[in-house]
Amino acid sequence: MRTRSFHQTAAAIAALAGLTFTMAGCGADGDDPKPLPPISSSSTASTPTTSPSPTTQAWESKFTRKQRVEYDEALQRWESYEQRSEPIFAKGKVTPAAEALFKDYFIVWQNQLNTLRFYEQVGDKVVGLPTVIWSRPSKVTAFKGGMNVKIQQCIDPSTVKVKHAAGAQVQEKNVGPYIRKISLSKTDAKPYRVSELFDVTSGKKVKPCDR
Amino acid sequence: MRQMMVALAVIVSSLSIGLATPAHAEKVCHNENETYTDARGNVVTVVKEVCVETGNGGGSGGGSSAGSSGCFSSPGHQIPCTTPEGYHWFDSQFCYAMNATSAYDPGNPVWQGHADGSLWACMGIGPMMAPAAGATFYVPGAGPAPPPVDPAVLAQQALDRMPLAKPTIHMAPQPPLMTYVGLETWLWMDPGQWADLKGGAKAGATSVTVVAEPVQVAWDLTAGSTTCTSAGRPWVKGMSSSEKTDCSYTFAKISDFEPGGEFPVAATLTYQVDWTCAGTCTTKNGSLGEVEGPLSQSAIHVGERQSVVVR
Repeated sequence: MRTRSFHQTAAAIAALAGLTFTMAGCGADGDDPKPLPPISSSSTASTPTTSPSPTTQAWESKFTRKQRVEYDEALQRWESYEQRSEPIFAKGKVTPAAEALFKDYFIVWQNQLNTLRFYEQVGDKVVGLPTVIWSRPSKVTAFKGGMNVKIQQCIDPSTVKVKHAAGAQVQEKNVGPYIRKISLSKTDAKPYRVSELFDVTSGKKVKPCDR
Repeated sequence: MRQMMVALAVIVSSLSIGLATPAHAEKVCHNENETYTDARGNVVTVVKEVCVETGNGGGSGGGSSAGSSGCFSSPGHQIPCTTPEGYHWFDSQFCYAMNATSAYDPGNPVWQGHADGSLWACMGIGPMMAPAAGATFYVPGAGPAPPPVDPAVLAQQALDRMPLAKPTIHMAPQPPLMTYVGLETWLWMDPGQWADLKGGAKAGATSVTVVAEPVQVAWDLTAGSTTCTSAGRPWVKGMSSSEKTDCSYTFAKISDFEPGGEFPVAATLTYQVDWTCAGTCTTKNGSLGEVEGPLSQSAIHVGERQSVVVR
């Protein structure tokens, strides 16, 4: 359930360029837009707080301006959460501040609290963030009194460091870039909060970006 | 997923009894493996100590596995249908889930267009609730029923709200008058405070009635102590010296050397607390044992009488 966002370094940008081919057909499910053309180095890649997009023109044309605004707002909330939660998972301790953060960003915040509690029990510390190779909306819908945005991100988990407690047996999997799915909802009363989240820790098989 | 299946299979025996709330529980600990996927996608196995309470209580129901006798993570591997936190096992999602119906606004896409039913959010798997799919899924109807409330917990909640008496201390001789070494000093509290107290609490279909019955007053007079099984007999002006009481103390030394020249006096009323349950009950009745009420404090000056020998 733990996730990390784009690292704004020259190295990351270089890696982004190197992954251009890999991202061409990155992941698809029922909510996916049509296959996207190969990515080009997006100008957003060098913007410190914004995840890079696979190809701006490709997905933007499938959404209205209002939908794109909602996507940007939802993505910013997600990125804000990632940045703020990183030190919490790096410490690996359940604290009132951690609980308050989860309540602020998640509809079912108990899930994140459980995850952190689990890490505390097993002695894991999750340091750093995954590299976000690209982000795009897969669905933006309105419901009575609210909006829902489904985001897909191609992320590389190799920039995350997990410090395990002594005695843990680790079977290296070398998971490459894969598709992370984040669903966020907002209402008139509340800002965007994570409604659902699927990543490599979710216990389900993740989809590589290059398939 | 396979590793998680294995991990769940391993924990079956422990958690299946962890739901019980036995009256006379005993904690039993043993080591087990738990397998999960970390944030890099690596499969991690840790050995942990799992402690469970064993005893004569019954497990709770719920869950959504097929079959009438429990929930199963795989054929032959029984797991508890409900965790101690109240999460229910769902075969379809392969996770323990909490009822998240109230968390989502009507119309949110997770409702899948339904106007009724319930929503459940995966919370984890295994004895330590390793992360599971962060899915929220729709269930027609209310889903598994919440686990039954432990009536003993309800009884304790009721007791916490009950006004246990703080004894009003009376003595004869009554301070500020002094009492004397060798003189029987009468002790009593307000008779009205020696009374049964009744309270109750309700949660869902479970109701508990609690009765607290006074059983004794512990008197600590610094120089010694005594326990009385009644409020004591009030001394009334005009009583003769031949009158008797069932609650008194006779000091053997003076209090002149105490701070303030007095012996601190404290009284505590102890209740026997029992409860009965009505409605949906895992146990029909029980006891919270003897419970002390709040401490009451006073002080008394103990002196010596001068005696004159007449020949």
